[in-house]
Amino acid sequence: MTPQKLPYVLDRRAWLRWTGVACLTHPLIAGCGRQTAETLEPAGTSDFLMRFPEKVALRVLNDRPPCLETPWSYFGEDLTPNEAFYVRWHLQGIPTSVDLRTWRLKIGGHVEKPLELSMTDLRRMEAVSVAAVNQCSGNSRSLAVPHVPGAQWRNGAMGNARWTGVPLRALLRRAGLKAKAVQATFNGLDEAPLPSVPDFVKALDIEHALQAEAEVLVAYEMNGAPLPLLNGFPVRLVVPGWYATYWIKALSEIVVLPHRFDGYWMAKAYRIPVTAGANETPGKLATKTEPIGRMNVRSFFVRPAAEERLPAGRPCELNGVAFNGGTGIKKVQFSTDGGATWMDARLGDDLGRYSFRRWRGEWTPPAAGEYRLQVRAAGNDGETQTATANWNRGGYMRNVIEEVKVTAG
Amino acid sequence: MVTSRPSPRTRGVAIALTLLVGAIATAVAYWGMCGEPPMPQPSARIAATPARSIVLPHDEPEFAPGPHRQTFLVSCTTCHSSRLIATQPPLSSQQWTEIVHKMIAVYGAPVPPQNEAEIVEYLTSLRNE
Repeated sequence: MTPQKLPYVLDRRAWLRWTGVACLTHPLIAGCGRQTAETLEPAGTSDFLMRFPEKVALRVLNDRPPCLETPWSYFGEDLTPNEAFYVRWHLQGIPTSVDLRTWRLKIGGHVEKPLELSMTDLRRMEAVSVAAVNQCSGNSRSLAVPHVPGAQWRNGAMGNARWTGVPLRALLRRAGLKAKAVQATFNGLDEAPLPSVPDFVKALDIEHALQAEAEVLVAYEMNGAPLPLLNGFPVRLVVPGWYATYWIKALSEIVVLPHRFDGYWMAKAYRIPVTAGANETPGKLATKTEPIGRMNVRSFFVRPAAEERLPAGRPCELNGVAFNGGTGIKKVQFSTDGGATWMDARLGDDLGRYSFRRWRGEWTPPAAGEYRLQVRAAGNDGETQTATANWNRGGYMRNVIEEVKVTAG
Repeated sequence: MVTSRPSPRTRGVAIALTLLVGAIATAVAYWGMCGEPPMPQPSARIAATPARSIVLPHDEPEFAPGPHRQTFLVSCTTCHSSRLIATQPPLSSQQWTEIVHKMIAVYGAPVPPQNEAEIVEYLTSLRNE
């Protein structure tokens, strides 16, 4: 009998071999890529994505402790989805397990009545909500020239959320401030990997903590849901208009002090030069520095995306977001000729002065070719953006006029 | 040794089984890449899960061979993943010297002084490829 010749002969050995190959290739398909030193790329170009618990795939700058950046398309939503919200921890010992039955928020120090509040206690107090942008001090650091070491964010270390919780001033009033209280410090559940590493503790002036317009709150909800663990479950401090370094995650202790706090993360880290635009030159660093504080005004394109190809002669919708340190956005303008001429954009829904403000415009690329699109915003306080980027040794507070190159064809 | 060829029917079943396993595995991988199923409402979640836990994944890159690679590995990954180093921009020998010194002097990395220069040499070598 002549053996039948089939395109594929499946005997036991072949079956085992091919199933084995399929099993080996599956981890690659499932996205667990490995990046080795041989494939290191210049800052800002690495696109290693990974899923962390309660999160969609985010760009990984560090996995231990997690520093995860939001992919740009999510900024098409006015409120950044919780599962896409960026993540940044300093200390390796981040809380991975919290039991609300035993967790307490402690308030003590220079107060009449130290408190220990449970989540139930907090939820019984009158709640407030505020839409506010949380932006890392070093957002956009990878774009600094010359390079600045640190977390190499592109522009995605930011997010907008509706934060719900208890006003900080209500908590401080409940504890009763003693006379001559100067600052309050905020500490989370995260712990240093070595005793020599300073614990991550930040401080706010007591006037800031008490000011109604500042809307500082202890938030237990983000966009209507409990905080993801990676964004600070069970509660975090929310400091609208201020850089995220103050927004202590997994807040567990508030200590009121009769003097200024001089801990490492206030006195030595997160400091900016005391100069216009927080600017200094690499060879000639500023001699005076101060703690970073309020955010400066920024605006971005969400559409079109960088390097996008657009059809020439057809109208295309431009949109993006703008925000500042709390006076709200007055005006956004865009340019399609590299900044030579500017047009007013339409501003979208006003979710509040601390929130992302959507802007929209329409443009028809007149002919095939490359175009440099730019966007700039002005705040209600008159602050505007500059055409040249600032630079400082920390890579903080970048807010240059943003440009996106597109090709029409 | 004589190997008996499986019958066409057995072959067909084996092929179908392999395709089915492959399809299930692909679906699982795709689901894993695309997102989790929707979560229950917040209030129900709080009541039902007073204790919340996550397990952190890790993916720490391996580093290329180079001078004093071993010194680097034992000194520089106690407090953070090697990925933090892998994602840095190209830095000069002077910049790496300042960073390594800060890790030791400010953050207390337990590195004997004689190893500092060796670590800098390794880090600088990574960019000379």
